[in-house]
Amino acid sequence: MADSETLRDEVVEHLDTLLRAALALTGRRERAEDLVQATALKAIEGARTFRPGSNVRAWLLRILRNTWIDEVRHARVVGPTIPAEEALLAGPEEPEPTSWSNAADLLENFSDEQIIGALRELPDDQRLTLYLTDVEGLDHAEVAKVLDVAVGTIKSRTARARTLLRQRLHAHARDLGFVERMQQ
Amino acid sequence: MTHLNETQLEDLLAGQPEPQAARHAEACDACRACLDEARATRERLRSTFAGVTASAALRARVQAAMGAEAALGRQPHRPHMRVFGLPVNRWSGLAAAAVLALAVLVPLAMQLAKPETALATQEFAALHGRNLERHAAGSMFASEQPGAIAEHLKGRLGFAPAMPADTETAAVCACCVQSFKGDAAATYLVRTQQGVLSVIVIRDPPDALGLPDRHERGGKTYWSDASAACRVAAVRLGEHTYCAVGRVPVESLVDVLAKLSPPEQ
Repeated sequence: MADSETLRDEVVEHLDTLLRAALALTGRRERAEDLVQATALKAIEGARTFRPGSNVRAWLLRILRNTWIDEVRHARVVGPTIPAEEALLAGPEEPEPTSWSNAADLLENFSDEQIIGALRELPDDQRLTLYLTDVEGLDHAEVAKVLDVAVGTIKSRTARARTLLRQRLHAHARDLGFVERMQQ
Repeated sequence: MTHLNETQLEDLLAGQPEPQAARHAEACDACRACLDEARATRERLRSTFAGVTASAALRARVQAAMGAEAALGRQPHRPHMRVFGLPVNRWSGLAAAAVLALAVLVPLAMQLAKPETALATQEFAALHGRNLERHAAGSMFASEQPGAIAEHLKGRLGFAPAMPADTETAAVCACCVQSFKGDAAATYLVRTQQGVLSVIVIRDPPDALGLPDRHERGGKTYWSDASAACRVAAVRLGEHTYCAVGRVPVESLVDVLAKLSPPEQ
């Protein structure tokens, strides 16, 4: 068990990581900040479950993920504190297969907000998996520990999430006319 | 060899490929294109989040909340000596929370807080967030009976706060005692058609909260702040100020406050 002050320092040290992960989950800065605060409070409440020397970042990310799931479930029970569309853990639809001949160029057409918006269209666990792997650079075993699933599941989930994200972005690119512009 | 599967592609991206998969990727245009797309997506995601950092205001807010939480430290099974309905250790916790709030939030208000959002609004938003989080965790006193909520809070604070009179449009669901500026504040959650909001009952007069807007309705004066996503409205009833807080329009907050039945004397 860590003492409260040490743990508070650890939480503050990882605030950027928590905020980015929260933004990946919520898609909105203000909601992400609320989620970070709730996560920090849960970390303090659950200090006795933390073993000094273990991976603090993974432990905090796990609390954040569980807090988000609780919040989404809670929203379903008590009403629309979270807009209804945010509370949906929608499964992926079946978009058309896509192939990019110039992926990097196409991606540069999107603003950061549009990328985050497209990420928000992925199911919760897919987008957190993709975020932890691609943005935070956690290895598959670390992500598996955070999300409490097998390493093999993380690999396939990451690949599917990335594919789904590209498909979503490609659909948006068509809607916004990026694809036609690049083909001219 | 057939094209690389998801696992092999992920191993390649992670820099830990099987030798056979690495050889295939070198020779296969289709798989190399898949890898290039995945790498481009990964790079774009990284750049998207690269500029996201916690602001000084968020750091201060989280530190203050954690300090208050640590000071309040729950020990539910130990009997406590009580003062005005609160365990003695809670009073010391609240005092510590007050010191933290003064030490962290006041300088923040002077130097960092956005001028368009009152400090009280930020604190109320934080309290509302904690209410939702605690309710989700099942750690608030839960009841849909306004009388039961009022009685519970009376047992904790020595007075029964006003409750929504029209339970059709504003249904209470849970309550607890939180700390506002170091003082114990009764608070309860109300479910409305527009969303869930918190009613927070404090001693400070509403005109001392720094809420920027003010209007009259039904012979009462309401103060409000709609500058942030989490909005606040406040009204004085008897010896207390009732603050409604939530991500709903100010009008909805005022509607709830306007229908509070007077507190017991």
